Amino acid sequence: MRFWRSVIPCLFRRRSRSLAHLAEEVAGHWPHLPALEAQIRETMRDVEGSVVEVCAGFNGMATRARESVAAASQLLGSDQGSGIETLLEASRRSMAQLRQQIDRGQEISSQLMQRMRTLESLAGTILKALGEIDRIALGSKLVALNAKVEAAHFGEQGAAFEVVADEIASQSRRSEEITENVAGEIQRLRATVAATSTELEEMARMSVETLEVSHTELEGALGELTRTHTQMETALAESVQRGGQLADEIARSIMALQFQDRVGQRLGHVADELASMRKTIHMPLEYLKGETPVLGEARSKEVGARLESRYTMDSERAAHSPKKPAQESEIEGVELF
Amino acid sequence: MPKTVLIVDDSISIRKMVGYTLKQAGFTVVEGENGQDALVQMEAQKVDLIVTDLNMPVMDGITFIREVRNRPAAKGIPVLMLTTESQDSKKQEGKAAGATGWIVKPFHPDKLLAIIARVLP
Repeated sequence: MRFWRSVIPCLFRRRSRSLAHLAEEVAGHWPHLPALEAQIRETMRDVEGSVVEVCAGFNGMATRARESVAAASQLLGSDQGSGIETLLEASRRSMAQLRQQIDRGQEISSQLMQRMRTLESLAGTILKALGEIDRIALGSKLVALNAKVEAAHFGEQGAAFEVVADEIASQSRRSEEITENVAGEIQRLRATVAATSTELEEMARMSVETLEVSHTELEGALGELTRTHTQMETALAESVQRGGQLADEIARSIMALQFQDRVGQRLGHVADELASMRKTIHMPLEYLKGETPVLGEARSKEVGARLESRYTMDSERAAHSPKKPAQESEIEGVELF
Repeated sequence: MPKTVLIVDDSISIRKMVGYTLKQAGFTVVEGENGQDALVQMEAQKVDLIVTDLNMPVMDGITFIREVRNRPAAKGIPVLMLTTESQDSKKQEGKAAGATGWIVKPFHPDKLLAIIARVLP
């Protein structure tokens, strides 16, 4: 009995000291709980805000990729009736028309040359006819001469016949003069036809050559343009494929970012539970502080110092010291020493 | 020859984001997860620039910079602090240890590259 009389008070004193120590610790830590709870909630909001920004960035990336592909597609004329494809088609039609003009030009040139040859031939025929007329005139002159000789045999009775003979001779000379003039004109015509024929031939050859050169150059340019267009279409197809890969990667990233929802819920539950614990502890703590006003003050300072030493951001320090605003960083947060 | 940048941070996501930014700009990147790990990396290869966090386990950024400046071969290497810390007292501590510059997170990729262009010889 004496043993218990000495042990029991000792046990009560030990228990009292333990309870006092516990009360001191609780009172020392309790004031810091609201700030810790606030930091958890602020962290949730920060994470959510950042994830929203990242998603907006993804949206922008996907939109820009789609717009680039659409613009390139329109330029190339992959859509019907627009762009480079239409221009190439129009160029091919123009080339075909040019070819037709070249062929028609050659055809006309040949026809012209044929007509010149016909003219040349007709001139030759006319000259032959003139030759015949000359011979006839000569024959007439001989007849007239014979007639004059015969008229002289008949004396005065042949005088009228001599006049006729003279007239025939005169007509023959006139005929000879005319045929000589016409022959001269025909010769000049032949010379002109020959010269014109040569010039036409040269002009036709030059025109055809020029058109052929233009056609060849255009054909080369069109071929090059067609090849470039094909390459651009290939590049566009590759862009479309890469756009699809980008979309897949964005989708995977969006899935990964959804961690924020789970984390937000967990943090919210923890913060809510901390708030409940605070409310639970508040009343008995207030009762104890009523009996011991300085309960936990020293310990609270120690806990505050420990938290302060852990913090690495002004926003954390500001959460525990609302009177002490967060220091403003240097402009743009960069400083060179 | 591309320049080599040593990125030191205990946060793998920060190392990856800084690494991505630098690789896009043509740098070669090596990583360390704290100051001690970074010193090992520096023994293995030549490094032209260091970008380091401040608060790391095992060896923090300030201690790491002091170690770097104690090595004659690494004395001239520019060292940029990349940290959430913005207090003046911490900046002065970093400057005294031998840091070349101080960047507060979050960093903008273009601005990080601009400051690197200024400090790299």
